[in-house]
Amino acid sequence: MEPLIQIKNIHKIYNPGENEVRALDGVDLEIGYGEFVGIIGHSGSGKSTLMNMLGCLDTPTSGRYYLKGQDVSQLSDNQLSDIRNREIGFIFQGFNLIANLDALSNVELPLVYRGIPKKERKRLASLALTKVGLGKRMNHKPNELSGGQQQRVAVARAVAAQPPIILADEPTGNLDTKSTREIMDILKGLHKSGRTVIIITHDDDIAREVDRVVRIIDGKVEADYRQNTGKPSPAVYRKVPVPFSMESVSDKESS
Amino acid sequence: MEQFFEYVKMALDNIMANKGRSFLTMLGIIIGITSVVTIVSIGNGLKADVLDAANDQNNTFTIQINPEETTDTELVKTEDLSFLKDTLADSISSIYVSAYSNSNCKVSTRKGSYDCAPVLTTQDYENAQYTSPVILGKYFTENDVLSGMPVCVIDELTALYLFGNTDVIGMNFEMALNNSIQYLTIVGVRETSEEFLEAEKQYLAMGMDESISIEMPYTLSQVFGEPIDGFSSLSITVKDQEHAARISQLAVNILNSRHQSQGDNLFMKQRSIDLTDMFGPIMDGVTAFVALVAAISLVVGGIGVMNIMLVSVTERTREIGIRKALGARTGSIITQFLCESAIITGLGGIIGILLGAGLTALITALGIGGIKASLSLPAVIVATLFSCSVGIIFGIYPAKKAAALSPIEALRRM
Repeated sequence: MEPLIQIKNIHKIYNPGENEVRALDGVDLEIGYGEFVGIIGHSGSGKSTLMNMLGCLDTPTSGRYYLKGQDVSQLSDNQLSDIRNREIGFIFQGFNLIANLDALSNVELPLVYRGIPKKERKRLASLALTKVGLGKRMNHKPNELSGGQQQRVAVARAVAAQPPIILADEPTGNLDTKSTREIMDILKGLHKSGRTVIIITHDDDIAREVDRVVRIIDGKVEADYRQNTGKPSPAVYRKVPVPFSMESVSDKESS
Repeated sequence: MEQFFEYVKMALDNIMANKGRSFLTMLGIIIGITSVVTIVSIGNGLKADVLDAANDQNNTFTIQINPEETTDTELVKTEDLSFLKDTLADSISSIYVSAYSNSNCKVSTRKGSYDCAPVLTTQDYENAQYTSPVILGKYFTENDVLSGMPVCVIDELTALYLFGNTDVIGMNFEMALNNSIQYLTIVGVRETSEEFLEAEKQYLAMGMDESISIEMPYTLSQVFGEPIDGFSSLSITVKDQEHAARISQLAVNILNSRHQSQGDNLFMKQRSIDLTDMFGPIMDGVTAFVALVAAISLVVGGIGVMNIMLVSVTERTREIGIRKALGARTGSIITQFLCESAIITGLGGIIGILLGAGLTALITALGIGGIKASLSLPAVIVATLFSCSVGIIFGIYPAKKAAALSPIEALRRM
């Protein structure tokens, strides 16, 4: 069975020519269903560029990216939008909630873009918020919530549409120790429930909690190893059980 | 479609989240639409006034003896008048004949004596065009005319000149005409309008004579030794302007056939100038010009909207990035931003129409310049469509700019 994510010899070059910056310089990476991966690197190492590639936010200069076996490296903007919507849940360092929408509406957004009817959307969004412990704060605006609570809203938003991949970019970078613990516990829970969770971080404490570490230096994979004994190695590829049918509604917006 | 309403809701949310700014953005459109609606409505009112006045004149035509075929003996007789009156009764509102004396005429009371030009006519003159209603007493009758009674109808102003008050029914005054002096009894008084009084003041100030208005049976001319047995012209006012041409031709034909001995062209009709044709295009031109000026103000308002939307796109770069990361397509972002500018301008348009309607009503109520402004439905429709299209046209550029943002660029900006 093909891996969930398969990256083959990807390059990303900014300013091609004399002052070119090789943000990614021939990266190969495979991530299977249900893995818990930490992509670790210092700032400028290329880990953010890698995260943009993985998240289908950017296209590589050369190389191939197969997501669920589909080559997504040369898709159009709109096709990438659809892939992001269906396959990936983003969690950002700066939370990236929309300020004038309340928690519920923020969580609903990816469901809106998927074209899910209002009633179902509200149900899924409030379910996701309840799961992250914010069932009683659904109608609060982001500025009425603490940093940890805002990040939990962002997590709810990432999981509401049930994407197979959760991509978290420095998810605890702006949080205190207690909130960091909460968010890490939630991410671990997501992994346990069968989702593929990828955390991008420079924080070694966070790196210690994941099953697999991919260390990036100067745009290259410097190390790729498994840790935390008791886990099967090599990676086990398995399908995520999807709790409701996304396929039936996934193409509503294609018009 | 349901998806479209989602974008409308997003746009509304954002407008409501920035109420103050949204209102200021609308202001340009509001002012533009208000002025378009108000000005076009005032123009409409003016045009209607002018055309009404013109139509009044168009209802009336005069039939004259053709000077080229005239003989001293052939004139419109009172028998012709009654025949036409009976024949055309259904389609005319008034028909009358009138004549003026060729000699000097002077009227005197204890208060003074005045020059005048009495109208010599029949009882039908009561409803002649441009005359005011008889408000005291009544008009002289057919019998008065047949028997040549020394009676007359004057107006309030004349009553004031002759007697100092308007309670003058039954009073007598002296009339010197054609070297003969007779006493006339007043049987009716016509109203004098405010406007006429105003005009009279100005005439007097300019050194003109007092306006003395006297109408009396034409048969009295015999008493004064200058008998009239016919009239050189006859005026008809039709009820419906559309039939004026047909009825005037009919009247001419009847008169010509009644005076057969004189050939077919004895009578000819004369109509007042067609003011509708003259003023219609002028008024349309003025309205179009003013609407053009107003349209320019709308374009300026539209540019204001574009400006604010561009600022908004820059400000909301991050939001756009988030939306794109979450799966918004180019079309979704464009739709959202277009909805926003269309709603802002559309709302501005509605407010402008309401204000314009209010101003129109106010101007009419206050009677500024005597204008009866009437709200123009086409202006309202055009204004609405125009403001919405301004929103969409000037919204396209910012919306495209927003949608073209790359999600990573947009997210990178903190």
